[in-house]
Amino acid sequence: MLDPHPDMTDGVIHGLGWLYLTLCAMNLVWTVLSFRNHEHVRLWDSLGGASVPKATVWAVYSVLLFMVAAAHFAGLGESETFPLRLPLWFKIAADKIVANAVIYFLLSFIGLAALIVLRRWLARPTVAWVLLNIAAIFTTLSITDWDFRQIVGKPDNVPIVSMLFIVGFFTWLYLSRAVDNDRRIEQGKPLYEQEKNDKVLVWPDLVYSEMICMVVITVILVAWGIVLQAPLEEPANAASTPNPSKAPWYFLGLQEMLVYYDPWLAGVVFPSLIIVGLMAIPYIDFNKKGNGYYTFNERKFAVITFMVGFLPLWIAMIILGTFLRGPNWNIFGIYEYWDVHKLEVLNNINLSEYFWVYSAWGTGLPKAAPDAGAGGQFVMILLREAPGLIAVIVYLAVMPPLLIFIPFFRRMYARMGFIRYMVFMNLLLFMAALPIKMVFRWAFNLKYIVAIPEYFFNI
Amino acid sequence: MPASDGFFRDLKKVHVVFAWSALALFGATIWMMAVDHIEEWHGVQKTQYRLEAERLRLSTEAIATREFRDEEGQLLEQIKSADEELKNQIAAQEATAKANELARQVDLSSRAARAVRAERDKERADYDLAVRDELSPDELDKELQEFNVKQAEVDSLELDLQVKEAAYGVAKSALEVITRQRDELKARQTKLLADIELLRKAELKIEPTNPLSRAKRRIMEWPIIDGFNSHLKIHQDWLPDLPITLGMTETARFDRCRTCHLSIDRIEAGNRPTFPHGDPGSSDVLDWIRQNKYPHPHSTHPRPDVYLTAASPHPVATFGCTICHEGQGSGTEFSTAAHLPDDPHQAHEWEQHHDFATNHFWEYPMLPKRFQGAACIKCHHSVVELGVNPQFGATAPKVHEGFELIKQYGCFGCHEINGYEAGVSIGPDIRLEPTTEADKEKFATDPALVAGKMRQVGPSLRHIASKTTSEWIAYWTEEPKRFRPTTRMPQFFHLTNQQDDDAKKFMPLQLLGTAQYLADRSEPLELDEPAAGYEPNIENGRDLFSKKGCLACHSHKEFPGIDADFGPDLSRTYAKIKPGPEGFRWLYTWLRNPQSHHPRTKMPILFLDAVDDAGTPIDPAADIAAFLLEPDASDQSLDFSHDQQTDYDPVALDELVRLFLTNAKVLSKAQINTFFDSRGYPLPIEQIKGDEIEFFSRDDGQEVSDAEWERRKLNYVGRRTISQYGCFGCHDIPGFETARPIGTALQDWGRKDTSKLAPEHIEEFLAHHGEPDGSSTKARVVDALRRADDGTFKSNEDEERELAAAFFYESLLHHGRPGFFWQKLRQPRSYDYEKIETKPYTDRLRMPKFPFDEGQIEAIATFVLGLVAEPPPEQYLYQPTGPARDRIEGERLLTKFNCGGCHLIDMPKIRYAANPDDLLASELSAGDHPEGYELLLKLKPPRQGETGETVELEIDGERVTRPIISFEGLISNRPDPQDLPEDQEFAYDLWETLQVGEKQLLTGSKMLASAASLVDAAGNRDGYARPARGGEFAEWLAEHMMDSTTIGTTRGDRSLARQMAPPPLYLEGLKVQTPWLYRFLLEPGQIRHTTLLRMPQFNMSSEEAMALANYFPAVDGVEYPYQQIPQREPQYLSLKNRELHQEFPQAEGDYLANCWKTLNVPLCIKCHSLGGRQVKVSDPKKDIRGPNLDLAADRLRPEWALLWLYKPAWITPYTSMPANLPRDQKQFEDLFGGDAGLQTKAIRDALLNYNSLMEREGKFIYEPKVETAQAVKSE
Repeated sequence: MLDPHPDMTDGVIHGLGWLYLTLCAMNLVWTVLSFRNHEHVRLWDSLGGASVPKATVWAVYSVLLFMVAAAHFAGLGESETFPLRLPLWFKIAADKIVANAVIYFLLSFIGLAALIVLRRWLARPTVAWVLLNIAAIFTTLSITDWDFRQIVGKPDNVPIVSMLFIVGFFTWLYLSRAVDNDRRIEQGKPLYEQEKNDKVLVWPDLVYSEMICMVVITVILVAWGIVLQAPLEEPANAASTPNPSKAPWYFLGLQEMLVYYDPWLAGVVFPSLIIVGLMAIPYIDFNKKGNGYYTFNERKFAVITFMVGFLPLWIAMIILGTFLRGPNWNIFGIYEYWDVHKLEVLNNINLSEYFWVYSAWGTGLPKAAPDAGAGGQFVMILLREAPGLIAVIVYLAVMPPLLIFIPFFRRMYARMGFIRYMVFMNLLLFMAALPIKMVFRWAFNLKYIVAIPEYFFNI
Repeated sequence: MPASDGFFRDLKKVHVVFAWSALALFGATIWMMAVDHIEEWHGVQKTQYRLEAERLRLSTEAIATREFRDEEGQLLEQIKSADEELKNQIAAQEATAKANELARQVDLSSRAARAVRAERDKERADYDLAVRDELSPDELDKELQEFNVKQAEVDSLELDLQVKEAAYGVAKSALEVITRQRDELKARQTKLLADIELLRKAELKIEPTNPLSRAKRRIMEWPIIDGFNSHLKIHQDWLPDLPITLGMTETARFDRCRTCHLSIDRIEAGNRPTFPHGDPGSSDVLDWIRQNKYPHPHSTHPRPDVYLTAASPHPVATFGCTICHEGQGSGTEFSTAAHLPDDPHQAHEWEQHHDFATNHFWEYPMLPKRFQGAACIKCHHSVVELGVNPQFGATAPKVHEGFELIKQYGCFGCHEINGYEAGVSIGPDIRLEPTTEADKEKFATDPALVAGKMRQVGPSLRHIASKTTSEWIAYWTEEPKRFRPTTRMPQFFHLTNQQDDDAKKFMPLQLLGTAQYLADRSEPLELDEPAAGYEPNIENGRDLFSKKGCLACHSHKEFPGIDADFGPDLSRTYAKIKPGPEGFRWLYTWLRNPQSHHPRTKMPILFLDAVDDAGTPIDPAADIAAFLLEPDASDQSLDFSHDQQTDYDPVALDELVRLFLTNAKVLSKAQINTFFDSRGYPLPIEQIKGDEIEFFSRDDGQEVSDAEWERRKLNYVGRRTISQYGCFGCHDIPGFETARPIGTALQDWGRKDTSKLAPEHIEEFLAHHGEPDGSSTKARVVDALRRADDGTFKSNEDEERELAAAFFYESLLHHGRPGFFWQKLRQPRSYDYEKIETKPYTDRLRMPKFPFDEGQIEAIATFVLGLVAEPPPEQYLYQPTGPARDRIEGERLLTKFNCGGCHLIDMPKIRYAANPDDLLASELSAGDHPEGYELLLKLKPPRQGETGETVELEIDGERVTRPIISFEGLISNRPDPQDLPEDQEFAYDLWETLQVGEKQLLTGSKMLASAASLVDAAGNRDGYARPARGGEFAEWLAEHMMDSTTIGTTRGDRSLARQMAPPPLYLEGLKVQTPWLYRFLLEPGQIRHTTLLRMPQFNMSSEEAMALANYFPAVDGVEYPYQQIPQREPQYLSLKNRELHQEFPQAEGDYLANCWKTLNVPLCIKCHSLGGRQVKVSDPKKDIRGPNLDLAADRLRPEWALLWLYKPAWITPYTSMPANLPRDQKQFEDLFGGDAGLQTKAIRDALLNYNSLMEREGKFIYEPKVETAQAVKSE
């Protein structure tokens, strides 16, 4: 009663029992499907190396899940001693890994790379099902942790948890279809979309289905609205804002960008560019392949570029902002208590300071005489920020022409022409600017490349 | 692929899916509506309606007894037979038929008349319109004609109607004569059933029996339909004038609390709650009614005289609920209303029964029961009226206790509680008074600034060196309770954050430095001494100590029966004061004039001047000083001596000085090093802002000797320590005149942002430590909750105390204000647990530990949590004027000057179960004056003695129910403890006029109550249900004198002994003239000769004296500050003159001359000096010397004086003054014909004109004119 942050309570155990039971039911269905497929696995030699039907393995797993669920229902009332919980060592290890922006982003990029490299393997239904099971068991076990529950269970954050699964599912769907089509193209078979291209009637096949979906979604939304009450908090007060102050979940990616960029860039320029860039895709894209069907091999560059922008730079940042950013916008592990007293060092340095103060030739920042006019001040500011300004100009104006020396981009230039190419390259460079700045921040504590607080202009 | 004729999906299956999804949507919609409709308060309101219906039914049943039903049946029977009889009577039949026929005709005529009247009215209107439109005379005439025709018709019809009505009237009366008997029976029936019908109607309204009404009531509860004025509805108090601040905006307050608390303001006749709160231990409404105990939310608010009702000062329609209770008034669920449990155990119960969860997003949750009253101070900024209130009693005693504790312990010395913001009162104001001249000037000149009123609570240390030694200062400061366990001075050293090596090293140096600084900076004081050669008498000193009133404020172990704590315990003064003659002279000076040492002291001047007692000089101050300085040989605990050599570690001193210097951030490390080498402070004096001034010396450049260097370092350390701990908040310390309080201001602490509290590692601390014995507070709380669950607490007090700890502990775990505050006062330094490792020595927490128990902490917390600095609109603030204001101000001063130490202010109250038949009504004796009796009733109107309560007693083995009677009076005889319990009887003097039924008991009546019959007297040796307020010393002194062997006459005589003690101030306002009291308070002169001590002169400003003088008449409800004395006015005197000479033509001289003679007859002179003559005591046993009468004219109010002369015992039961002029005795017949009544008035008038008469008539010796008297007789 006195522990304000109990890991296990009767309510949690009860809920987890139902979760395991649901998982068990899902796997039973899977077992039936597997039984119908008549596939077999070979056991390890030590187990006799026998070939058993896959369905047997799933059946055993389902029974196991049922027993775990039963254990939960039997364990009600013993919340303090209940053994089925996430071990402490795992929490500590997971927090160590996750509560670090560098590792987090590295992992997200590695994950993306693995997704692409292992796509043939990942596209197999069994692999996907196993991954889904792992994710479900991980979530279920993690719920035994008080802090995890607080973050995941917040009515605000529930859509993001489901987003994780939805994004996972659609990414997998794309991959499996793309892998399938790529294989078909290799083998010279017709594409899946061509083979299954049944034309159907608008009524009843389309409109009726849509209406049913509409009704079902309404039911879900009503139920959701009843079960999870609107997450109202205290009355708004400018004098005492909540800590952390978080944007709505769909803006958390933007809020994460604010860590690295000035508000006018992260809040105005980048979001506008994202929209403009997405609108510009049809005019930039010259690759006519992949229209109307899934493929990876025929559109590698486009798909990878999109996935980089969407998965690590958008979805992963929403996840980071939602689950890992805590009080004072510090990063917390998923099992870590959100203690306002946790501090992180934020000794960030501007590029101009690197150049003028910390370098071997450092003379201190150039400063206009106090009696200098506005013009004089401006010139001195330009001088002070010259390294950054030059770097930015080089990045945006000189890099694209230089990149032509790379054969891949030269081919692009040849197909796109100057204007299209420059627009495209600039969009691409803007997108790359975010991870680049992140790397600079982590590696050199770089605050701003161009820092002109006098005119609220920082890059 | 081309489009096929078939559908993509099997349409039948899709239909099925659609059907199911549509059903699901329907289900979801129903679910949504159900969730929206099913609300907790529906159930509550239904229960409430059931409760009401059951109550009505039970009331009906209570009325409808068997006799009632019998009577009703008989009546019904009689009516029936009367009806029957009438039916068979031919005359009756005929009369009825006739009356009916006439009634029909009247009806017809009346209809006809009404119809034509309407037509006539139209014609008149048409005519009027024609006039308006200026139609031609012809047309006008036509309209008029039409009207006239109709009018004629109306006249004839009305005539017809009148005739018929008359006929009907005659027929009806004829019928009435015949049916009279039956009609009377029916009237009796209606009367009999009136009450029951009323109840029945009310019941039917709630639970109708008619199926249609029942159905309607049901349907009105359905969703949507319930929006149309259903009986189940939200009740809301809308308070636009009492806005609530939500986040950034202020908005009108909506309190929906009464949605569930439906009967919160229901009262019955006699201002009693209809549904008194209680735990019936059942959920059945019938049980509630049976026990007359109603659980929340069905109960009525307690104290309807104070709260909620329209006649109370806080009507619910104006105040709502949340202004006092806090909480979310707009919430209609148990949790969303932000109820707050009183302890975690209750929270647990709520979780189980009310699905309770803390609504932590609501910033102002409801105040739990333990902080009851905290919100009162939002409006009651003067607080006093919440604790002492003649009308309502103590309404918020806990808040008042907290307020008094803060004042007593001087919290405001460090934590200012500023009750003003830009000159506007925002809450209670507890601040130090301005000390410097500059401050005084500032407050005096700026009208927007309001000066604080509190003096520093500790003694002045400005002349400390004359009083004691620096060794004693260091010893005392280290741990004040060690020397004097009852001290209020908190402990600064050896606390939880001073257990490490650094602290152990530096603490002795800080103590030494402080003591040395204080001694060094002490200013010289001119000391008095007794006359040369005077040998102080310790025995006499002891006697004087007990009699001169010292014990009213101080305690001393030689006088164990009385333990006043207004001033310090003086038992060990000898150990504290400087040894030798200097200490004696200091104490002598202090006793004679405390203000010379401390101008703001509360210690009064006691007039302890040396007197010459028949050639033997007696210097009471010297004797008392000698008594106090007489060492007690048995005092073994004195572990320190004044000439102790204190060694210290010089290296540690250097280290500490360096630490302080570094911390001051003025000198660089190098500068500090140079400074230590050269010993010359490197900065000029103008640049020294802080305590480093101690290092500065005028004779710069001179070599600083080693001793001087050590002295300077120690002084610096001392000064820094004083700055650090804020000692100047309580003490006047040289060098700190302009220092500001060091603590957080508390005026809005009740709203302090909890994220600004720093609980640090308190959870860890309390898990391992936290209790005085070092054990874990967490373990204590866990144990308490377990015991509360099991119900194994030994007593309610235990449970209350332990669950209070659990409440605060739980609050602390959630970083709540109450918990933080609680622990801060329990162990102020515990927030430094494992923090001192990472912060400098000088940054450690500084708050000292006060000797509070947990109950006191809770009281202080209640007060401080109520400090929100959010005053409601002005019309809600309690800003009394006139007597109410003066009472409050007076109460404050009574406390400030401890008037109650000597004087009894409120009489004790006794409650006992009396047999009213045994009570003897007071009867006027032949000697009593009826005018006096009337005056008594006027001055002391009889109070109702019956409380209306009863108690069950066992008398002679029988259980009897007796009414409880309450009265105000003083004990006159206690039972002998040797007696059998049933024989033990208390005797009291009644001090008021009491009405018990028909019987009237006058002041002075003896009241007897057996020990068993006393109510609420547990633990009180005098059997008082409410002890006296004040007067403890007076009672003690009286007892002491009764037991004392020194004065023979007093021994065993309580009345005489009481006259030796300070007089009670009961009804003082009725007695004295306000201007006199004002002067007396400032310059008290001697009045009484019987008292052993004199009223001392207090350190009181003239405003304070004025306020105190106004207090008494304000309390007694008489006029002030000025009084008319009509007895001095010429009209009165000439009237009296005329009367005198008319009635007694032979009377010599004018009225006043006769009065003067009457006063000078040989009566008063027996006890009072008067008219230039000294008192002539004829019988020393009987005649007790009374006050000199020259004071009476300015001192006494005329009516009081007259009543006193009529019969003194009607005012003061214990007085020795007799009724000198009884009505049935004729004395001094040459004066007013020997009429005792006239003579009494004459004496009063003489007293009121005393000075002018003394001037005019001079000394007068009465010679009775015997011959004249005889001559009259013989005639």
